[in-house]
Amino acid sequence: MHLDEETIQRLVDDELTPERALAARQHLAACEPCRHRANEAKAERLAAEGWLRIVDVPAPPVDMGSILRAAPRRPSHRMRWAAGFLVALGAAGAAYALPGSPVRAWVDDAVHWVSGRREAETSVPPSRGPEPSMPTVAGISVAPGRHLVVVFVRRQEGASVRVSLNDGADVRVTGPSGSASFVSEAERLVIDNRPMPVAFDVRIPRAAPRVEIQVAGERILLKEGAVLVPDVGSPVVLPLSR
Amino acid sequence: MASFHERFTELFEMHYARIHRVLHRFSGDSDLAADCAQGAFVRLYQRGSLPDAPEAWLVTVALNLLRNERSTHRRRRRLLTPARGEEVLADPPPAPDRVAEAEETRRRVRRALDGLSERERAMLILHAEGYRYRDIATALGLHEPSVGTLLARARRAFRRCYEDAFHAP
Repeated sequence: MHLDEETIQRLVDDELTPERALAARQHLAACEPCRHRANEAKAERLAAEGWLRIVDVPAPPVDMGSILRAAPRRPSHRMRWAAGFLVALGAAGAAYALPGSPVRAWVDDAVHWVSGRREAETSVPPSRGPEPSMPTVAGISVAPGRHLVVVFVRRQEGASVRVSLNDGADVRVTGPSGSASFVSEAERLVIDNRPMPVAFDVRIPRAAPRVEIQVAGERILLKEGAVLVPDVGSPVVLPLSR
Repeated sequence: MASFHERFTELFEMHYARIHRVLHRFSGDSDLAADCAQGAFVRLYQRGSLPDAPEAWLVTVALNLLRNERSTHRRRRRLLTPARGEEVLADPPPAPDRVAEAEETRRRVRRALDGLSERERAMLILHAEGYRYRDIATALGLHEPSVGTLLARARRAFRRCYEDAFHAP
């Protein structure tokens, strides 16, 4: 009995449970026709992924602040519950205050009943911090490919770049809106930085094979495989002035 | 625990470029892809809370926005004057050999993608972008246990379309 197409495809795409994957691999080891079909499925997958990459272009820079400003936020579920609770509380208060209302007698009875058993507990609700301000950043994300050079066009007194590694898929460079323009070229990401004392942020996928950061033609950082040169760890803040 | 705003920012940083890539591969229109990717994030922010599977939710909303926008664009294109239409569809100006060759390959891939059904195209693109079968089923309204078979058919169809595009004039 041979493996069905769904199983072969799931094996190729790593979508089987470990037990089913093991059973499928054991079957492939002993079954030439199924092994052939699995190899074909793998080749189809690699070919499709390769062709798709050909049409890619870098995502245009985007200012997240403008997205947030375009999206007046609706109250969250929790806030809606809180609002509903306050309305209910208000209605109960009004019922309590009405002359001749039985609610007053019920509440008084309940208070006596509770206070007879334990002291009422009081607590101060935790204060909420202010809403975080909306960042106004601009930037660009590109797939790192096999080699990517991030170029800051000019040295910049008082400015810095924070470099960190992450588990994302793209190299991402951001800075305050208006501090630079970002252009993606073949294997290069060019940041035409303006003379302002600002902090840029560069995030590099750990999986990126080789990413280099240059300022005015001089390399200030190289990530090659898992190695950083200079070996400064992550995150690191580097000046753009030198 | 991270606030909604922090989680939103993190999702935006991790997935904006990815969703743009999905939409661009799907439509071939980078500006439209950017508009719809941003539109999906606007809707998430307006929602005020995170769905159970935010990545799948975002790409589903983004694809829906793209479909809506594309039908609007089609309507707009039909209203264009012939001269404007020719300009929209005209070939790019001549370029050096390598650029022209790369452009030709890109055009073939684009033609091959356009030759697929919308579902096949979306499946291929979403899977190539790392979405799991479960997310693909959610985004496209498919029966999850048959995603592998449908994906295999889509890949074979893509190959056929690519080879046809290669032999086409």
